Amino acid sequence: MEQIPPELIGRAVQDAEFRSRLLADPKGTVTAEGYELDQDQIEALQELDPEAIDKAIEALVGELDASKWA
Amino acid sequence: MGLTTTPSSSEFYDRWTELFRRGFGPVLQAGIVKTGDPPREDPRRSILALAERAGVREGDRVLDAGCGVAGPAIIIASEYPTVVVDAVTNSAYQFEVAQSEVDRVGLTQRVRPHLADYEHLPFPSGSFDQVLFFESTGYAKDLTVTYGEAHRVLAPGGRLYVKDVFCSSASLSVRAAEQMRAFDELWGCVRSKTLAETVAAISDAGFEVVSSGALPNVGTSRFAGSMFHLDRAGGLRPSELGVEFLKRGLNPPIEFGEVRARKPIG
Repeated sequence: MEQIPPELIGRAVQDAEFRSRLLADPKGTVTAEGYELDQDQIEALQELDPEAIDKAIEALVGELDASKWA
Repeated sequence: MGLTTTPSSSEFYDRWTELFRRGFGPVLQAGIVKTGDPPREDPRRSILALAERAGVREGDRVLDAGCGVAGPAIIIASEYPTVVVDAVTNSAYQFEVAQSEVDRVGLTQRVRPHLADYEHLPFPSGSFDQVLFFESTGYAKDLTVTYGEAHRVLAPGGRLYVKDVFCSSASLSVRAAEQMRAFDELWGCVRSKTLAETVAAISDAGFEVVSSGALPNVGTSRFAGSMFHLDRAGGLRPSELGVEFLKRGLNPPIEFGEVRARKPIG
């Protein structure tokens, strides 16, 4: 099942530093953070283009203050 | 240009609850208390953490005021085998789903959904030991009435617990006020209250306020993440929930907080 857990997506959207680590090293980051993802999910994250994700966040959300997300 | 009207909270939740259930699951709350090590936003554990903060005890008669689809009520009743929860929603759709879920999990003796307005509760005075408001007071039309009713239905010594998304200040800049109005409109709220006015209304209703302040360890990543799909085929894109509820640039002045109060004895 490729769908990434919502909490992980949310962290990636809200926290640029976490997103950068996650997309640079998905397996190492999810292991270090204690998330349980299967191989298909890890591979899906590895195939994502960090720049495209940043642009998508800017287009969908704009400037984001993570502490005020609701 | 025609007149527009804001839908009532019942209309709002009649329309959107099924989408919310698919996106958020049975706990329709934005702020999830992080629990465990490493800290995670687990809705069930969050509800149990909130119940503990509220002071729920075995044997309590609990009112969940603004219960959604009774997800929290079911979680609490599952964890506390002698607790009975009356769960109130003013959405007919939520009421039907709540009834169905309670039947499905076999808790019909201890979780009782009601189709009612928490400003006009269908219970005799002194019926409860604990009243809970979980992210529901933004739908209150009148805080005096809301907390007056909570006070009435609590037994002497009974406990009130409010966990909510509060407007962070009563005096906002024009820009912040616009953001707050947009937030309230998006989520169908009458108006998000401030923590200070909430505390004042609770006190005015006759409660002894035990504590109030920011809710610690609350996260919104699960809520935020439910607005998106992320996969190799499409990258990051809005989920069906995000299509309706993602608003670019919306950054309202809000904070998660809680209030604990007690109805005095005598």
